[in-house]
Amino acid sequence: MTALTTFVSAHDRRRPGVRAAVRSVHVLTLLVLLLIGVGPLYWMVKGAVTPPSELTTHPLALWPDRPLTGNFATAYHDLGVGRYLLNTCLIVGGSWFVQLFVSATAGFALSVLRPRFGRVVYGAVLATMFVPYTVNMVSLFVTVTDLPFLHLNLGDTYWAIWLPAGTNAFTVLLAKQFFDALPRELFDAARVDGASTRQLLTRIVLPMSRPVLAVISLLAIMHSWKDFIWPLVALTDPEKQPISVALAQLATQAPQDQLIAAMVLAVAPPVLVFVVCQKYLVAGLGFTGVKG
Amino acid sequence: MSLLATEPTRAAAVSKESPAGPARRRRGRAVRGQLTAWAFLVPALLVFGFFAWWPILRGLLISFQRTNLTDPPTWVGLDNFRSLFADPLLTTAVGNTLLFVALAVLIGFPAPLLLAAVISTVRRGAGVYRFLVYLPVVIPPVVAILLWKWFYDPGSGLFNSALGLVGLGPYSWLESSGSAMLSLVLEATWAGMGGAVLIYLAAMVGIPGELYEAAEVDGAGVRRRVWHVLLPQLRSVIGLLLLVQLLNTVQVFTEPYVFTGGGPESATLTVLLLIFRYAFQDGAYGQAAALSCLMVIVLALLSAVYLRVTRTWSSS
Amino acid sequence: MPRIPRRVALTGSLAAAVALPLTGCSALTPSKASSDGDLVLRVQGMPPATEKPALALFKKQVAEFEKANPGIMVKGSTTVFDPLTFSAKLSGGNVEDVIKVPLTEPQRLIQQGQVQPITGQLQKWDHFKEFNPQVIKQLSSGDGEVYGVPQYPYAQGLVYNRELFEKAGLDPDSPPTTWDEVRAAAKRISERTGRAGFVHESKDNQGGWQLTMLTYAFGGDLEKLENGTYAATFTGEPTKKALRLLKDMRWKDDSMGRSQLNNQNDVIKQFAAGQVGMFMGSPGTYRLAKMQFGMADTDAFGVAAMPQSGGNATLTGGDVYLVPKSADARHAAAAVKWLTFAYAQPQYSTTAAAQQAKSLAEDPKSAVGVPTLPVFDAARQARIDAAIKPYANVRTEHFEPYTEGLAGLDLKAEPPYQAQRLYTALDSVVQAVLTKRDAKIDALLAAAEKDVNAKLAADQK
Repeated sequence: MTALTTFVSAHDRRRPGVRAAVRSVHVLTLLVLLLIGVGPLYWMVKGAVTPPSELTTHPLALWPDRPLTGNFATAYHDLGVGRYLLNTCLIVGGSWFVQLFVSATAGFALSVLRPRFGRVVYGAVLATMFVPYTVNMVSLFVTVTDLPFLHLNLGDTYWAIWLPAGTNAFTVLLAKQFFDALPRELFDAARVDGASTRQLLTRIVLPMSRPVLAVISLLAIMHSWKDFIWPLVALTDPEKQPISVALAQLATQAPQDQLIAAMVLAVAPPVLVFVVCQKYLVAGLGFTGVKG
Repeated sequence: MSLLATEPTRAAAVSKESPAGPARRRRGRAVRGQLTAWAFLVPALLVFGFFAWWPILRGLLISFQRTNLTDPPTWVGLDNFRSLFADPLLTTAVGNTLLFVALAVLIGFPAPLLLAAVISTVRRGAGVYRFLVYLPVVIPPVVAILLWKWFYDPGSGLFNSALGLVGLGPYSWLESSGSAMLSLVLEATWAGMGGAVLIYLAAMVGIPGELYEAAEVDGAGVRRRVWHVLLPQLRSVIGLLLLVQLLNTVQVFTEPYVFTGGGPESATLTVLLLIFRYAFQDGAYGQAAALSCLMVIVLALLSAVYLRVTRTWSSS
Repeated sequence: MPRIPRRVALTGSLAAAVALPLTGCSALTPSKASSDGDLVLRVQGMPPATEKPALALFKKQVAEFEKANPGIMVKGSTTVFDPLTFSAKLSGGNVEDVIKVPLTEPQRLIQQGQVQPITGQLQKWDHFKEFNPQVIKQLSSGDGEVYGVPQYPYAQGLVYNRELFEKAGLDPDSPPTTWDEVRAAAKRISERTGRAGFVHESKDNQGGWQLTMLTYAFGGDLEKLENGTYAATFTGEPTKKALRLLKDMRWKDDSMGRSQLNNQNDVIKQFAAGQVGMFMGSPGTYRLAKMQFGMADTDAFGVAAMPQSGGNATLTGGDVYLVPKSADARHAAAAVKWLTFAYAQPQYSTTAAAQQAKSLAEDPKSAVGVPTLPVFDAARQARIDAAIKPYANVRTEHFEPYTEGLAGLDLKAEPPYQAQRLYTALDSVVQAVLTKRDAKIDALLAAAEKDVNAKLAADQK
């Protein structure tokens, strides 16, 4: 990548005063970022191996005199962090699948097949963007515990998380707009070759749409990994709760050092994924971050 | 979002000009085509029907009903709204939420812009900066909050211990109604900043270098280049992110719920936390739904502005 | 089971196409017989994995119960009562067949019709009539129907750290008996040891709960019944005196430690780590301190009867096991069998109690011999205590100041109507007093009373 022209030009950089200033700002920023980026993570690991008495008597010690290692095992088995992490994976996996499935099929139908009144459906989908589910959680809860017509109670089951995850108008919009941009001649050609509608989707559209599918996946996974309020409301059975909800409960139910060990275990998977895939993620997140 | 959306929209405009012809050739095939098309819409219709459209309507209904979810609901007219407005906590919660939004914008808005500007000038190792700045975003919110709660601990917390070394404090952070909200905002800013920095960076990459060069030829110094080139070029991104931040912060819940439970003295009780309490603590689902309705109206207005801005931005 | 797939299919092509593992599905139809005809009884009250000895006992009980009652399968749940989410779960209708709630809740649940009477079933148990009427009253409706079985009823006292008492030059064998003495002791502890002398809870409705205890000790009440409606009375002199005491301890003496936003678990956690001199709690907090928060030096645990300043009364509480309305007749019958087996019988029969104590005591991390209020009459309780004694692994002499002092106190229940609502309002009053130097006690109480009464009035319409 060639150096980008920014508000500090190449000419500026040749002036020693500016160069020194720029460099010191850079170093300072790096230090601050290290402090706020890596610092808290380090402090968490340190807290997890420090006996509770030492936590209160020497709060600023950089490393405990006699580090404990048993806390991770205790947190994993006795506090149930292992199970909560598994629950989180189930929740994330299901939510991801539903969201991708709904967005892809809806985007395909609205963009490629274009049924009559499709625009009405699209409008109704987009309109839900005005009502974030967090604000609507009370009636969503009421609905989930007694589905209209079917009278099914999804409360305390993962369906209560998975299915509502599909109602993301933004990812439907992403899929539709991306499919809109695909050359229609391809579809016609495929039809002539005798492809069914389903094959049109799975053989032509989806393989060409990997970038948007990746972005939708990223959004879905990030959102359901971080979501707190809806699992808190919908899953009251401790056996099924994801790590975020469980930690909020454990916060007062576990000794401080074990709690911090549990937090380290909860942070490890996303941080590891981020470290390994950061090249791809940072690029993708530049776009998706807008949705917050 | 629109960074991604711009290109497909333009292309979509082109593709619309070629009419979808073949499907109309024979009526039988057209009907079958319609059926298949609707079949592919079924998942979306079901999911949105059950979990978006119906709950929105249902929320409106419940706000005029009294219900305990076990007995059949009864209509109570505007009673829920009346008892809502009679509750002094409503004013407190609205005030607190506005305070959170204001502080979040005041602190959380300039910080990422500044960071992005600095990082954009880094030539070697910019990836490291980006990685570090985004790291806090990866931490699950509840973990981040519990971590900061530990830092804020007035007795043995990191902050008071460290500040004590240089003779400051002890501060009460979460434990005084004056500083609790500020403490929440500090954590939220730390946790959320990375996303905004990356978006600003992406936008800054898009600014044509010639603009800077032209400004430099005109004799503009670094400061004037920032002021007259960088900021005007980012105007729409800035507006957009500001709105996104407003939309997100108005819905603040996890921070007060985990940090303080709304205390001390209701100083961090936000609107969403109040809705939660009405419904799941008091069992006053009607009143909770009434407050939700009011909040939806506010959010809808904000979102309308958001969409408008997005559109003007993608077209410009 | 055969019905489930059809139901799922009804939700449309989505569920079918999604083809996810149907793990979430098994719970779609709770409280139904499993495939081989066994009745599955879902019960709350299973101890969390952190309390290993108690969990082992629970599992043993389940095995014995299943052996004695073929055809019933007991499935334990660790769900703990949380006033914030409880009504949601109950209204959600997928609640267990047996629920465990604190003694504040039964009256509200009974009034709202969310639990079912079990009198008929429970009467079949030989000793039904011998239940302590004071306790059973709190889980019965006005017309005499009984709704649950109580466990570990307790009266609040003053828990204190004997070691810190000694370090501060106080006599751990004669703990404070009045609130002036508490204040003096707290001041001394914080001056001499640097630890918090006395800690008061203030969060998650427990601030209001503890203020209720203080109010009782100062001779007041927080709720009254007038013309058939309940109203809060926060502005009585005893409540004001109690808050003034807290204010003085917090701001004049600075003896209440650094952190003020605590719930009960926070306080016990700090106590277990040796950071707290005194707090209001029951002997049962010993279990939490030892089993959940790993208190190493349990010899330092001391508990006295509630100190008094004119009230001569203390607050009672405990756990109750109830059967929600959602359980059908077969499950309700099985549930009562379980309640009798797991909770009523071991609290009555000396052999069952001794057996339980013995198996608990096999793990040194357990807590056996913690005193409770009588579930039946005092004589029965004495026999139970004697039967348990050989297995006791707590320092019983450290509980003597409690048991001796308790004899002279009135036992008062929690506010009868919507106690949690009162507590929520009082929480923020307590928080104000503990976090604001210039908090105006009278004005705060008056405002809180007005708010709560508006809500109580609306609920009783």
